[in-house]
Amino acid sequence: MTATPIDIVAWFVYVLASVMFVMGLHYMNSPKTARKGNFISAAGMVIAVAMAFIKLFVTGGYNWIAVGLLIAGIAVGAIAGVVSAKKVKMTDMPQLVSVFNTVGGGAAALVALNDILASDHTPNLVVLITAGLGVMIGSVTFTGSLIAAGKLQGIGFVKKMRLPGKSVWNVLFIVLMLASFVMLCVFPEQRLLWSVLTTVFALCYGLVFVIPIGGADMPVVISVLNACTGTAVAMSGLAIDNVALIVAGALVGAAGVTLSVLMSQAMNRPLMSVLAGGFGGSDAAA
Amino acid sequence: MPELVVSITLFILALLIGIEVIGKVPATLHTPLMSGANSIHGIVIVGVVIVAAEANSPLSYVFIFLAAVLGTMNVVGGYVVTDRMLEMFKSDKKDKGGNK
Repeated sequence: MTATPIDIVAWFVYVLASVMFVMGLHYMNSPKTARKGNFISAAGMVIAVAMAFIKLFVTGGYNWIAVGLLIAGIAVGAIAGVVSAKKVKMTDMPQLVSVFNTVGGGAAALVALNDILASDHTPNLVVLITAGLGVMIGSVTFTGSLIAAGKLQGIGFVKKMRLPGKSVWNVLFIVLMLASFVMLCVFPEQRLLWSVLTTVFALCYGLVFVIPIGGADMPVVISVLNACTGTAVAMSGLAIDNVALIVAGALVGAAGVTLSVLMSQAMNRPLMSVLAGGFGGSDAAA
Repeated sequence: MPELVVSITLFILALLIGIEVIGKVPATLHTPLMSGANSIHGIVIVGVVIVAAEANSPLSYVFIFLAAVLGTMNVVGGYVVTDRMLEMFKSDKKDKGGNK
């Protein structure tokens, strides 16, 4: 692939956005500068998205239906995001973060799934592995974060859900999910079947992973799932070869894991025991 | 192949930065930081825009629309809600007389 000038400009703009994300996170380490950090990070996001659109229009060759749907989708998402973020009560914020994480994971999974299914020719192994991982991790976060949000919100049936023999289910769905993923990589001609199965099993795994964990531990779980979404985004980035997605996704992935460790330390419990669940009980939810 | 090698290198280096940048964050900032990191992975909309450039089948139209809605909700809502959390922080500090 030869790089055109617009490719090079876009590359550096994405690098600039990534630098702004790192600065934003850095400033959020201290209460004094935290708001500035959030602003810098948001500005980086605006720059990156604007660059993606500029590149889209300069390069051309796009389809108006796709671009129309893209813009309509962004408008709907922006309105939904602002309204929900403005309306939520202060005490309900952790749930909303979890919902945002849900949709982010879903978006990452969709981008990866699109990469596997949309092209007419069979994708190469690198795309299959990275996009497959993106689909898998993104789908796990989708259902996992949804359950986490439900538990924090105290929605009756979510709180009451129990999972007898949870470790059996966990192992079962992990094995099925990984098996479908391997089949996807080995038999790319049947990619529709195997990618759908990978998605379904990953969605199931997200459920059985979070259901046994007590409501009081949810913030840690959300942080772990947040890291997962970051990783899913990075995997989608590897699949479509985009520096902004790779760097920002990896950044969130690593920062999310570190933050989860810190959060569980603050609760005086090792991260692994939080994730194993079955302690604290869901009735301990706030 | 070299492109993939570069990408994986970037991935690993970004992981290290991610670990380093969250070093000594006070417990009170855990939730805003989580929320802030959460909005950053909304970068996936850049991916949606890139994918949209090549889309030409009904299936990918559906994917693009849904991914655009979900991704934008993540990023826009994420930043607004983080800002609201941090705003609360600031007024908290003022109530304490702004010492420190």
